Amino acid sequence: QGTFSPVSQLPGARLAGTFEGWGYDPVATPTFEYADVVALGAGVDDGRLFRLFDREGNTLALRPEMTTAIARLAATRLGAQARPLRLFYLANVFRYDEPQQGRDREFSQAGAELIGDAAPTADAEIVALAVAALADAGLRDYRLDIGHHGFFHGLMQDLGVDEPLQNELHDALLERNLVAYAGLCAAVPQAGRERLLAVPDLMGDQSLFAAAQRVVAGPRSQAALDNLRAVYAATAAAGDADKVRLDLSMVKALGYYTGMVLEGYAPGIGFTLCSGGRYDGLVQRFGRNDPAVGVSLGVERLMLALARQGALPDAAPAAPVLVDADASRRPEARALVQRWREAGLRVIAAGQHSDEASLRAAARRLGATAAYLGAEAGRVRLWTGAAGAASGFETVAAESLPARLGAKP
Amino acid sequence: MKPALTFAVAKGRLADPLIELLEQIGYDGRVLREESRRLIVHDEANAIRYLLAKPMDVPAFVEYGAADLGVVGKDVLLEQQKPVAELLDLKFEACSLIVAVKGDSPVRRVEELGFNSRVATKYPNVAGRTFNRLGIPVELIPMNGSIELAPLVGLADAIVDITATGTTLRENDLRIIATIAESSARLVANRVSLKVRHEEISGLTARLAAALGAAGAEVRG
Repeated sequence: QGTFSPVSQLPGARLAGTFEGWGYDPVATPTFEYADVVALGAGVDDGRLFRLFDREGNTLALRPEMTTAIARLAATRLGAQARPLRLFYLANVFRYDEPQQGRDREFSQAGAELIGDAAPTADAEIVALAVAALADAGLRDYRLDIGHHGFFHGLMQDLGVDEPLQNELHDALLERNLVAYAGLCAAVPQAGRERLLAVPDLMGDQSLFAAAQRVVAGPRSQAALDNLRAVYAATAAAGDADKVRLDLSMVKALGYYTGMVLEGYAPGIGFTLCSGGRYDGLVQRFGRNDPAVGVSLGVERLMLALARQGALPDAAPAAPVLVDADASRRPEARALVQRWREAGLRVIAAGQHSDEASLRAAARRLGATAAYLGAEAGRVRLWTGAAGAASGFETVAAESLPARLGAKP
Repeated sequence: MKPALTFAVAKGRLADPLIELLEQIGYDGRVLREESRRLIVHDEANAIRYLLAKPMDVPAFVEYGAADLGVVGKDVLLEQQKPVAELLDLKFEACSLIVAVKGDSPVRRVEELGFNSRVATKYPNVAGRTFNRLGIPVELIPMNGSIELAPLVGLADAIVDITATGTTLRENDLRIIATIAESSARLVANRVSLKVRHEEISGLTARLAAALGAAGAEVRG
């Protein structure tokens, strides 16, 4: 904030670059959505939406996330396109939260959705993509946790827990209020209670699968565990096991997940860097029965993590060069400015200076270098300020300017 | 050497029950008993770094990850509603969040409080949510201490406050007309620390729970 970065090097752009490299296509969706479409996603709860009215009296909302709109796109305009669809986005989303570090009301998300493939290899692709995106952005120390929505919810259903209590247990686990969670479990008969009480501790490496198997209570939780095992195996086969751990206690606030769920962390950062999972029922709400899995990364949070690790890309873009010329050499100057820009220099074409001293003063104020085309034909007078503010100009060949100023084409 | 766990705890005599509990599980309580102005003290042997903070500030340290763990009253958690993981009821500092009126007030039940009654409180969020749930519009007067004074001098019709034995209320001729919630000291954790340092934190939690269980205290929900 307050400094300028080369746009192509911004972390958001780098994440987009990773997604493109993995064969994902960019999509954009409207900033305003009809509020009832946002509600169809059952994503972010009402109290956190920014709402407004259009002139016909329709209630609109500023999009709180991108997945719902992309699901609608996949079902409608992209309905006829061959599956699986691989789509990515880099967009601002809006949530009415209390602003604080790592949580703004307007923030940028980069994410990917893989639509139309239900196989565990698709889940593993998203996990691998998240790992690659964080690594490509320059993050050195981070971890991804994967869990399964169906494990905890399936367990409660297998145990016959009634729905109001299921919701309360879910909320307590979501808030990590383990005292309240244990209190609620007291209402469940003994054998089921032990299994539910074991869930919050089901975090660890692959040795966890044995403990989780003992907690399984019926077909739903078994199916979820088997599915997660398959996803983890595919992830390990892809070579990412060292960055990925298991967390079967992971539950999400967003209501559309149906299978694998994931979260990413960096040490020293008190909030998640990325979040995602499988959401097989969502595209169907808009008319096409597509399974789907995706992940979204918080760009500002990623930048915080990079800063903490001292890994933010070199923030300052190169200083521009301020160019001017004697009247007789103006046409030559125009042509040179174009060539220098193509060579990767940042060039400001001035036009009101008739001598070197005046140009140097202007360049100093702008924090720029100065190049003047003066009396000596075929030569350019260059001032970089490296030898001090009052230092003199040197004579150089025009073609040498880009290299001299360290241009990166 | 593994990095220390950072533990935010209350300063001074409020820390006494916690010190006893820590000593029961074999931790060195001396560093917390020392009379010094230092705000960060170390238990090197157990790799714990204590931050000595005001109880009301503990959730902030834990939420932002400046502390991995903290001890704070449930009343403070209910008031601040910060996103921290609540791991264990430590049982001490037991008290209740209550609504009280002057002894000679005609109000017998909280539902009888008139519309736009004035309620003085150190817990405006808890009070606001409580009266919203009851459907009674009230005017909240946030105060910081000696809340009991408010109804006595006509500043407020009722108070929302905590009480342990009820002595202060009785001595000031105040009568409880509703109990909002029970409170006690809770062990809280930063949610990311809980994941990233899960084994250490759940190990410590289990040992504290065992010590509490052994003391024969009742289970509270």
